[in-house]
Amino acid sequence: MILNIENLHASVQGEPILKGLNLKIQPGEVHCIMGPNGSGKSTLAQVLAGRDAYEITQGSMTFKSKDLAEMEPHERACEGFFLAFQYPHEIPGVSGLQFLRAAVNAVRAFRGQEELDAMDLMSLFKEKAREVNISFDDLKRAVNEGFSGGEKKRNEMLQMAVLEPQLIVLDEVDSGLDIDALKVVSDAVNRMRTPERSFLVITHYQRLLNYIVPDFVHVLVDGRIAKSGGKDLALELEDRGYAWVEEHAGAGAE
Amino acid sequence: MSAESQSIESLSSLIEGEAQSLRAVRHEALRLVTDQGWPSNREESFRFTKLKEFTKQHFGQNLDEHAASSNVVDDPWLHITESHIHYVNGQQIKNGVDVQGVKVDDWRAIRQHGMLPEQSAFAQSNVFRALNTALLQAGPVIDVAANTKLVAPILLHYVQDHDGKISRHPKVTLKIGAGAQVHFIERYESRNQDSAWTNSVVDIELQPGAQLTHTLVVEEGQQQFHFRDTQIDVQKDANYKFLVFNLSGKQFRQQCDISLSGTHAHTEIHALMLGQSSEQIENQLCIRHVAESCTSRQWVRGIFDDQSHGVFTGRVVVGKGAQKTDAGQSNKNLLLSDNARVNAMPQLEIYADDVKCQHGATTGSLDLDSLFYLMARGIPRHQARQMLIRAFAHEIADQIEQPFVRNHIERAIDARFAGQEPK
Ligand SMILES: Nc1ncnc2c1ncn2[C@@H]1O[C@H](COP(=O)(O)OP(=O)(O)OP(=O)(O)O)[C@@H](O)[C@H]1O
Ligand SMILES: [Mg+2]
Repeated sequence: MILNIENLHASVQGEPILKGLNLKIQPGEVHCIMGPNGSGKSTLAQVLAGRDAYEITQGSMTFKSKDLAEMEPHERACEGFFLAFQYPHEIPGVSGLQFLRAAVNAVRAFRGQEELDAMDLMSLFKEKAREVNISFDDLKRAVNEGFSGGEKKRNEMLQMAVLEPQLIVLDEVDSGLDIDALKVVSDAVNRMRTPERSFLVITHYQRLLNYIVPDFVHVLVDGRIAKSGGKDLALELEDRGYAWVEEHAGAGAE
Repeated sequence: MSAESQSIESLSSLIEGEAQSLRAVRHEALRLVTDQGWPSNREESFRFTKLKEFTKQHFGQNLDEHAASSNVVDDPWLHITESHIHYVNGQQIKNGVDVQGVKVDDWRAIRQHGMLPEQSAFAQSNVFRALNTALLQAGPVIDVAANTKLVAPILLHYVQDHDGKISRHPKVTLKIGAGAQVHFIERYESRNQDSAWTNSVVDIELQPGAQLTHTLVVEEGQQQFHFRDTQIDVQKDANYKFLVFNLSGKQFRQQCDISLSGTHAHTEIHALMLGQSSEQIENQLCIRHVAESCTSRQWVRGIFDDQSHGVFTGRVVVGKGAQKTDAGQSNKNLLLSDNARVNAMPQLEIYADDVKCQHGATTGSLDLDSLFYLMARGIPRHQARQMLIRAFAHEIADQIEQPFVRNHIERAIDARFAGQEPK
C-alpha cells in the first residue's frame, strides 16, 4: 500500500477539522476527493505534507508503511510524496532554476543518487518545462512571483515532473485554469501515470475528471469521508449536490 | 574621557616635525575632543549607540611605520585589481595605483611636507572626526583628473593583525574630477580577535558629471569597534552610488552625510547589515537635497541573529531651493532570533513644496510559508533557511559588479547564518 490513513483527526488552533478520516491508496490508483468548501480537503493535503500548523490529535497515516507523522516535510518529499498546492507560494529572491536545482539534488542525495551536474539539470529542466508550456526564461524569474494563477499551477506540474514522486496530491490543480491550460496540466499528470505511482486529486469540478480519470471518488464532508464510489459518483454529485451526501453522511463511509 | 591622556601622548610623538600650521589644527581638534568628551545617549543621533563598553576601553596607537607584517601581500583581494592601496595596522605598505589620470598621495607625505589642504578638510562636525584630525597618521589622498574613465576598480585595503589594543585613525580623501568614472572599493578586515578601534573619516567630492561607485566591505573581529564619518559632495549631474556591506565586527557606526549640491545630481545607497552575537551595526544616513531636480534612493536591508542590534536612520533634508526633488527609501529587516532587534527611523525634513518623497520600513522574521514550500520539495530545513536568507540579501548583493566581491559577500552570508546542520 502506498498510503494508509486510519481514523485521522487533525485540528488547527484547537479547532478540529479532520474528524476520523480513513483512506487507502494502492500503487497505480487515482483517487479523487470532492467536497464542500471548508470541509477539510486542503487540510488533509497539508497534514500529509507535514505543515506544522496542523496538529494530529488521533489516528495514523503511513506512506509506504512509514509513519508520516514522524517525518519532516523534506523527508516526506524525498521519500516520494508530492503536494501540488492550491495556492503556490511566492518566494522573492529565489529563482525557479535555483529552486529546482536545490530540490532535485536534495532528493537525489536523500535517495543515495549522485548529484546531477549543471548541464544535465539544464537539459532536464528544459525538456520538462517545454512539456508544461513554460518558457525557459521564466525559470530565471523568482519562484511564482508575479506569475498568473494558471502559470503557478503549471510551475507546480514542472516541479512534479522533475521530482518524479510516487504519491502525488493535487489540490485544486484545475482552479483558475483556462481550457488550454487544463489540457496542459492534465496531460502532465497523465504522462506521469504508471503502475507504481498513485494520485489523490482534489477538485470541485467533474470536468477535470474527464481528463484525469479516477478509479475512486470520495466525498469529504465535515472532516470525514461521507461517501465513496467509482468515477460515476462525480457525475451523480454534479446532479444532486452535496446536500444529498450530507443527508446520508456516515452511512456510506469507506 | 579615558582616551584623553593617551591621545595627548600619541599626539605629541606624532606631530614632531610636522608643519606648524598642521600642529595648530591638531591641537585645536584635540582641545575640542577634551572639551566635549564622548557623546552620550541623550544626543539624538547617539540614542541607540552602545557607548559604555567602548568608552571604557584603552586603545594605544601603533606609531611604528614598520610594524606591518608581510604575509598579507598575497591576499586574494589584491588580485581583483592592479590598482590597490594596501594598509596594514594603519600604515601604508603598498601603493599599486599606476594609471593615467589618477594621483595618489598619502597623508603621511602631506604631513611631512607641510602642504596643508584647504581648511575645509578639517571641519570638525563631531568628536570622532575631531579625534581623527588630531591623531591621523596615514591615509590616501586620491585625485582623479577630469574625464578619466577607469576600467578596473581602485581597491583600498585595510588589514588589521596587530596584537594588543590599538586604534587607527585613517582618513580617506577622494576627489573625482568632472566627467570622470571611477569604481572604488574600500575594505576593512581584521586577522585577529584582539580588541581594536578604527576611527575612519572619508571625504569625497564628485565634481560635475563625475560617476563613482563606492563599495564598502567591513569584516572585523568580535572585539573590534569601528566608528566612521563620511561626507560626500555630489555636484551637478554627478552620480554617487554607495554599496555598504557590514559583514562582521563588534560595533560599527557610520554617519554618512551626502549633499546633492548641483542640479540633477543623483545618489543611491544600497546597504546590507549582517548582525550576529551581540554586534551592533548602525548606519546613520543623511541625504541633503540642496539643488533642484536631484534624485536619491536608499535601499537598506538588515539580517540580525542572536542578540544583535541594527540601527538605521534614513534622514532626507530637502532644502528650500531643492524643487523637483525625488527621494525614496526602503528598509527591510529580517530577524532570525527573538532577541535580535532593529530601530529604523526614516526622517524627512522638507522645506520645498514640489517634492516626491517615499519611504517604507518593514521588520519581520523568516517566512514560514516559504520555508515550508522549499521543504515540501525535499530541501532540508537548514538549506531552505539559507536559501531564504540569501534571497533576502540578494537584492543588495546583486548590485556588486565584480564576481569575486559578489561571491565573497554571498559566501559570508552563508557562513554567518549557516544554522544547525541536521543531526
Ligand atoms: N491555518 C488555518 N488557520 C485557521 N483555520 C484554518 C486553517 N487552515 C484551515 N482552516 C479552517 O479549516 C477548515 C477547512 O479548511 P480547508 O482549507 O481544509 O477546506 P477545503 O475543503 O480545502 O475548502 P476549499 O474547497 O474552499 O478549498 C476551514 O474552516 C478553514 O477556515
Ligand atoms: Mg482547499
